[in-house]
Amino acid sequence: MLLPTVRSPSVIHHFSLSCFLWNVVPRLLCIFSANILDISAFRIHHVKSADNCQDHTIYSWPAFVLEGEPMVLRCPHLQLKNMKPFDLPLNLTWYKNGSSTVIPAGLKGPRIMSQADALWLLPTSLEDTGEYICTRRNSSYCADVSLHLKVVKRSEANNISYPQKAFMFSSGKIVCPNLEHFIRNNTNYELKWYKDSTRLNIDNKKFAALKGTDYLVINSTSLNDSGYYTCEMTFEFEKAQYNITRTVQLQILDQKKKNSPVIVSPNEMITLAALGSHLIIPCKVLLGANNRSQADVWWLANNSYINTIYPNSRVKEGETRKLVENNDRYIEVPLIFESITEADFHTDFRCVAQNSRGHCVQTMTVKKEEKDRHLSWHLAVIPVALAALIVGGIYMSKYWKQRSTKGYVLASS
Amino acid sequence: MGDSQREEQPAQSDGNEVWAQGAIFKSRLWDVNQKSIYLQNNELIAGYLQAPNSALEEKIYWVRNHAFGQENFPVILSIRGGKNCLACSPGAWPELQLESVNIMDLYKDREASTRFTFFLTNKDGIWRFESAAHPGWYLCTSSKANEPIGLIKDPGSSHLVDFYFQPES
Repeated sequence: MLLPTVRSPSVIHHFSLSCFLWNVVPRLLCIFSANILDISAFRIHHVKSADNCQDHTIYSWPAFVLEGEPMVLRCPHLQLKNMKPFDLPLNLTWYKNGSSTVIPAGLKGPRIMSQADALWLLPTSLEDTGEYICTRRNSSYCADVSLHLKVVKRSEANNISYPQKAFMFSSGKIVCPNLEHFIRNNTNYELKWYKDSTRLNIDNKKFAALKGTDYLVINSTSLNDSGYYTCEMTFEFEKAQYNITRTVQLQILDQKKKNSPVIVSPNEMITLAALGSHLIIPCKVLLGANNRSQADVWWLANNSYINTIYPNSRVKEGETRKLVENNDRYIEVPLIFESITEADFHTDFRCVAQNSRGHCVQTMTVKKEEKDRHLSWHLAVIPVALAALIVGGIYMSKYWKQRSTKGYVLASS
Repeated sequence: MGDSQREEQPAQSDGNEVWAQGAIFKSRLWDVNQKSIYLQNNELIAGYLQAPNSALEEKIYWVRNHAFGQENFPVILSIRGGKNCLACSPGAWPELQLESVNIMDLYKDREASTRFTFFLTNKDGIWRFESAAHPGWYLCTSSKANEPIGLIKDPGSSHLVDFYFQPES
């Protein structure tokens, strides 16, 4: 198990009291907390910073934006969380990698400026592509985060689209993403919606969109509704107007393709068994031909799991088996009764098959096989049958004797 | 019908594995505002991923927790093929955590698995995930994009507790 820490060992720390606290306190705290994992190295790398910051985080995936549109990059708050023990104010500055000048703060400056924890590009141009670094610093501590921005040509809109999903034959909601910085307190903004460059008719039947909301509702969705949707809003700032567009690639999911598991046996509601007998009831579940489909199959007794009701394993689940018959795949879990007792005749046994698409239940009861009654019935029938056989035999032999005698007489006459 | 027709090979990576008493399922999770889930600095974040980054979406690997009763739909949720499970911290104000524990080691022991367990409810195709350890607390996203997913008791307009939870096709 990994040592619970959110910091990578590759971070090189300068020796100072704050660093000591920074390093040791969280580790000590974590020893008493759960083993929170460290799996960030996959995408976020902590490395030694060039400007002597204790901590430097790189986001290895970029944000994409169309050229000529406004863009806001936010400095993530990951480090601040860990800064709580210090409780010292931090100054935030932005600069672009390769440039030594700090990007000016305040929103009345040049095209690229910073405000609070956000970097504004009003608007972007292709050469803005690159790495932007935000640094939070006070007298003893400094942390920076580097973010990647890729400004692409307007013809690339579909390549940087946002995948979204809706279900067939329902109403789908498409959200125009990442508008927060441009909407703010404006409750009256309005989006224009396009599908494949054609303006949508917001008739409130097929398509519905309300002022002051960032989504489009598509009613009675069908496969034809899949495709690229573009939303457009106008953002006014300092008497200038900017267009913001987002492209969404809508996928329509067909729920009919869903395959719930099917219990093919037991298909009888009642199974006969004699007291004291050994009984095995297999629960066989059809998964279909799909090689990837699977299911979780289990038995219940009066709605409780078998191993909790029968801790002594008088009744238990057998081993799960996977079978293939006529190209169909099955899972089979047997319910095994070591020896049937009276209580089993008053218990509901239920096989449940669950997969990620649904579940299926089959209830079954065990009925007493009436051995004694069957036996007495047999005992009564056997002498009668024997007697009938004997009487019948005598009669038949007499009849045949008579017939053969008559036949002979006739033939000879 | 015999052993020769058994075909399971433990496949830790893709989650399509059947073992003695359970199956691990792989599903996609997104909230009703189309935010999907990705990992950032050990936290699960709900946000809008652009197509070139869509591989960052975390798929949810889950099992039904057999240590719990039948009435609810108790599940354990994880990412990374079942290696990192979602847990609720103890206390009056629980927080969502990721723990590096194998999902297959959890689902048999009720006490040990309680803080990892969520009760699933489904209404008209929309799913909610209620913490088994903290009744009334639900898995939630922020209504803002790119914020961590967490737990909430009384979701107002600032949080979402409604998700789509769809098997990976």
